[in-house]
Amino acid sequence: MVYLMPLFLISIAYIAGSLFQKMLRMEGSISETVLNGTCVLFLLWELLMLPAIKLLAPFSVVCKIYGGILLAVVIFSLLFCRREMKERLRIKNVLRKEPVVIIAVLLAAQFLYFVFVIPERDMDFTLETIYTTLKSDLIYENHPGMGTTFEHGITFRGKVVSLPVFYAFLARFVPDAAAVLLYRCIPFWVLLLSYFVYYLWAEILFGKMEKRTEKIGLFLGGIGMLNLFGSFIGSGWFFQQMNRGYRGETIIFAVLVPYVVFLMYEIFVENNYRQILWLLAVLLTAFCVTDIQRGFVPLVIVAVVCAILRLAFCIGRWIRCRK
Amino acid sequence: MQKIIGLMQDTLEVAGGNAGYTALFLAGIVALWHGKFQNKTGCGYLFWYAIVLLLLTISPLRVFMIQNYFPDMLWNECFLWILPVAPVIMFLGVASYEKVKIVREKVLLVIGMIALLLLAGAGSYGGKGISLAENSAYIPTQEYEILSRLEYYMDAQEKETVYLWADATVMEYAAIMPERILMPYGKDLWLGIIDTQMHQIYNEWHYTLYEQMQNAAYYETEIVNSALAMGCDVLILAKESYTAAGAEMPVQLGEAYYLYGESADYVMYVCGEKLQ
Repeated sequence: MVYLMPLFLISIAYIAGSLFQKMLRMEGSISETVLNGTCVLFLLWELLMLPAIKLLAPFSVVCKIYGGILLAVVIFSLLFCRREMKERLRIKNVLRKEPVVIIAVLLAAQFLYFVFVIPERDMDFTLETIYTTLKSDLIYENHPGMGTTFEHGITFRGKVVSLPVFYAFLARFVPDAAAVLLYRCIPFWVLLLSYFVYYLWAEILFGKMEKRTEKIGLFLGGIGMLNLFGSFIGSGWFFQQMNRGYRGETIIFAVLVPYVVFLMYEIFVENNYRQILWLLAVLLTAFCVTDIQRGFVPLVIVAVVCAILRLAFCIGRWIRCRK
Repeated sequence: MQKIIGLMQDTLEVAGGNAGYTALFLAGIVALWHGKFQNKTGCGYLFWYAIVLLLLTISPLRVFMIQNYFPDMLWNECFLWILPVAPVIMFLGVASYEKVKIVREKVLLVIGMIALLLLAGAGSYGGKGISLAENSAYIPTQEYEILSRLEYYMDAQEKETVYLWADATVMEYAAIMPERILMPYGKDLWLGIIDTQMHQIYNEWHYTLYEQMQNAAYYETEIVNSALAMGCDVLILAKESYTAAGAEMPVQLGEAYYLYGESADYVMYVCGEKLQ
């Protein structure tokens, strides 16, 4: 049951993404819909968490309300977006032989890595926070390492980071398997999300080339190999991705940073200005996932760099035209 | 100047994870430069993005500023992860693949690429290793054994909550048990975790408690007194401390704590329970 959680999260994100894209009168590929839907899930959770923290609401009540909202989203999405979802998920639009086989094998290898390799959690309180929240029914009121009330508590800025409590919400479905959920399923979910983003990148890089399917397969398969082999090095990005996959920083750098780069490409190169709304959604999601220094700031740096690149390109073109 | 160049080199190495991947990343940028003539928009965008971020990351100004004004950020790898290392390296792979036309040579190239990625990455191992532990929280066997005794005690006594004071390793793992176990301090005390958002202020007596528990053989009386004052239900002491002191493990701690169970490394005492 717990091992189906990544699939469940991606399905819910896809359904929610479809509904919100339809509401904003936008279209998108499966990857974009899933990524947008994931941001929607985080933002809805955050919208509930902020008043709940202020009102000291019990965690179980927040979970019930969030569950109700998700149910409503699913029902509305199935009512109004059934046709679009079905069209996007048609076999010929999803499955192409080469990449699916290569990527499935590498995904399986990476999943086995999550199952057998001991995760890095020396400086981490995520699992403790999940259990403390579940046992006390309070949000960020008890010290995760001690189980007792904080002497001074967490600042409001710290409480805005709602990711560990979001995991606690998921753990309510599998109360005896919170560790499996956190150390095996969540990293796999984040990995799948990163594949969705890199698929979008691959479309940009190889979409217009010959044998695009083969090249995209090789590109995504190679990223899988890099994750596996790079995880041997005790520092660096690949180690983070494979050993601390559940951390907020990993979501930022594996999913949101490359997605911001893609959105900036869509906005500035493809002139798809409606994507600005999703860019804002991604930037806001950073607040829910990790603290400002490690989440929002890198995303802004990336967005600013992309904007400067576009500006430089425009200036270059203007100078060439004048000549 | 030489120091700054050295720091720039180090930063570049950290950005890639190690020297091997950094070299592949730089080669990938060259491949992107070549590729941007074929697919101007996509490759050009990624090329300029990677170049600007690389220059920002290793620029002497950034290194100088961090070295002089923000030394804590010197080894903060987090910001280096904005470099698109994985896609740039894999673009190099795909670009090389594109150049080869014969199937046999393509297969050889793919094998060569796998070998290159493996050799570049797997020179050393920095992880915690593989575990086939029965428990999904990856709790080591010795600690899991004694914590199972604690679980058994809670079930037998129908206790929903226990107050535990134990050796640091046991307390670290007790915090990730599904049962409601309260403790006098958390692992942030002995690991020195500094979280700017989490303000648990430990007092001097917390550190004293920690020191006493880690050297339990020498502080038996103090431990019993403190445990009674805090209302501890269970004490778990490490046998190692007694072995180092050349002392025998006691059957009873003071008048209040009785031996309840033991594992190869730990002994568990409970308050007011006779030996069973």
